[in-house]
Amino acid sequence: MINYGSAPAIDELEITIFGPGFGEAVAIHLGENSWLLVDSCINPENNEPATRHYLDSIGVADPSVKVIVASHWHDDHVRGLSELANRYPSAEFYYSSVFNEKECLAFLKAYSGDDSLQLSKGTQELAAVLETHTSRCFPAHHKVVVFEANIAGRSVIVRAFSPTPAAARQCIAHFAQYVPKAAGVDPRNHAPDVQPNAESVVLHIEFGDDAILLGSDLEDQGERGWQMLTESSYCLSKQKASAYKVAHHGSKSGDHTNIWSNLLIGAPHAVMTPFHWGGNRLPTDLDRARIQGYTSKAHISSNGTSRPTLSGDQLKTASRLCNKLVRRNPAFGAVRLRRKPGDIDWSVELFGHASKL
Amino acid sequence: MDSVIVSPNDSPLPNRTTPRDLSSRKVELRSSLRNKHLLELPTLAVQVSNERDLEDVSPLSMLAAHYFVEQPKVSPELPRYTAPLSAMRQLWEGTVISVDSSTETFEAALSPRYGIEPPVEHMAEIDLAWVSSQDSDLVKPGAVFYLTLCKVQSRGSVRDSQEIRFRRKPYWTAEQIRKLNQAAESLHARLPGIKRIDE
Repeated sequence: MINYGSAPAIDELEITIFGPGFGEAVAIHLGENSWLLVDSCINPENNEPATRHYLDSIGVADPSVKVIVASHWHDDHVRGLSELANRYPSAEFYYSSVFNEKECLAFLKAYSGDDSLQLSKGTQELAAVLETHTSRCFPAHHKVVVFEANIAGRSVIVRAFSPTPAAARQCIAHFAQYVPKAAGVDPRNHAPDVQPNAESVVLHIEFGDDAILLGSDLEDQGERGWQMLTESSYCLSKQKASAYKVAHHGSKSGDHTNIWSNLLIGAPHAVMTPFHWGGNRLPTDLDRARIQGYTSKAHISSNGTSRPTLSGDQLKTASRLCNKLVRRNPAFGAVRLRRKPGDIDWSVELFGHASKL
Repeated sequence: MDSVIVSPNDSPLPNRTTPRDLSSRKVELRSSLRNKHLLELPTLAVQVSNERDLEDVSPLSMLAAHYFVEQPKVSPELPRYTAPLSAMRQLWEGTVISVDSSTETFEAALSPRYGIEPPVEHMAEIDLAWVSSQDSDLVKPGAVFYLTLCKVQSRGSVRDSQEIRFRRKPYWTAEQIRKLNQAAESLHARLPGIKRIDE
């Protein structure tokens, strides 16, 4: 089991990014023991939400979690999210504003297990939080302020950069087409894989004269994605970030040169989680090379082997039908960046199977 | 000449038997011929005396053969087992990720339900040939299936058995759709709106 050591100092900023191979979660210390959690994944070592286990292990009390954000509904970003919402009842919960529309709520309901067959974690987790904690759930989109406070002598403000109005319109139309309409025609099916991730909530966290950018899984789709954000006067007016949670697991579709030139300082810290889903393996070797071209300070939460964990006998039996058997979550790890006032740069700590990119 | 006797039966035929089963049964029968096994059954329907004859065996007979042709009690070529009558070794719940018609395979995420400790999720590529023709229309991304791997004992010999069965999902009813939209509207009415915009 990973030993995370102790909690950050009261005036120390922290961003820790967790990922097992299929999943992503982020914990951010805003200062004075105030925490922001973004998305959720399960730590396969103990089957607990990774961020909850982390906060417990470094001794953070439950009321310290001020905000929980679900950046989007995909399975790899929401596992354990309802457990987090239950565990931290004083935290406000933010979600992509597209799910504040009737059509999108009907989509969530259709695939969340009430009448369907509980086949999608993403819809199930998000629907459970909205239904159970309704009064503290708030939609987030371009220009929404998620959190603001004066902490440890610094102005701390968390803003949503996305989804943009154009992206929201596209998403609502997209989700609406998957809401069952005709009896006896539409099967009660698994939630479809709605792409691209235009509803993703990108967060910008400003700490006085420094900032962090969390790219969620937003992809580059003109006015609905990074192109628009990186040319928006609103986004350009904000502090450039020195630490970046790389969008969409380092994929080319989640990248845009303007992110690095317009929203980040030169050679920032870049941290990403991998995405292993069938034949999809992100980041690819080309993605790694591209990101290394932007910064030498790039890290990944999990770089472990995907060899099956089965015994020889179990593997032989399973191989009667299964070719190319690999672990879905190859190896869990976390990358932690911490920075005290006056520090020249973030300090980097690697846990579990995290490594330099 | 050695022979294999394939018998139909008056009992209802198993509705899950497929052409693929027949194909694999033919392989078994060929193997029996090569190993000079003589199988005798009470009702004679088709007598097969060489491999070529197998091609002429009717599907009906083959369906029956799937259930009623038995393995030899004693076989010098096969090892003896002392396993129980039927022992499940592994049960996985799978979700189809993608289907590749060019390689006739599909990729799946597999969650162990029995026989795997610790219960770690895996991913694998599986030949479409393992899917029965009755389920073939269900093999789509998102589809859920159950993969069973067993040891089966039959008259003293033990063989591997495996099966993939897809979950067939019911259709939405008018009442469910009405309730669904009602629930969405109700939740929409209760959810707070935007808290603060930065201008």
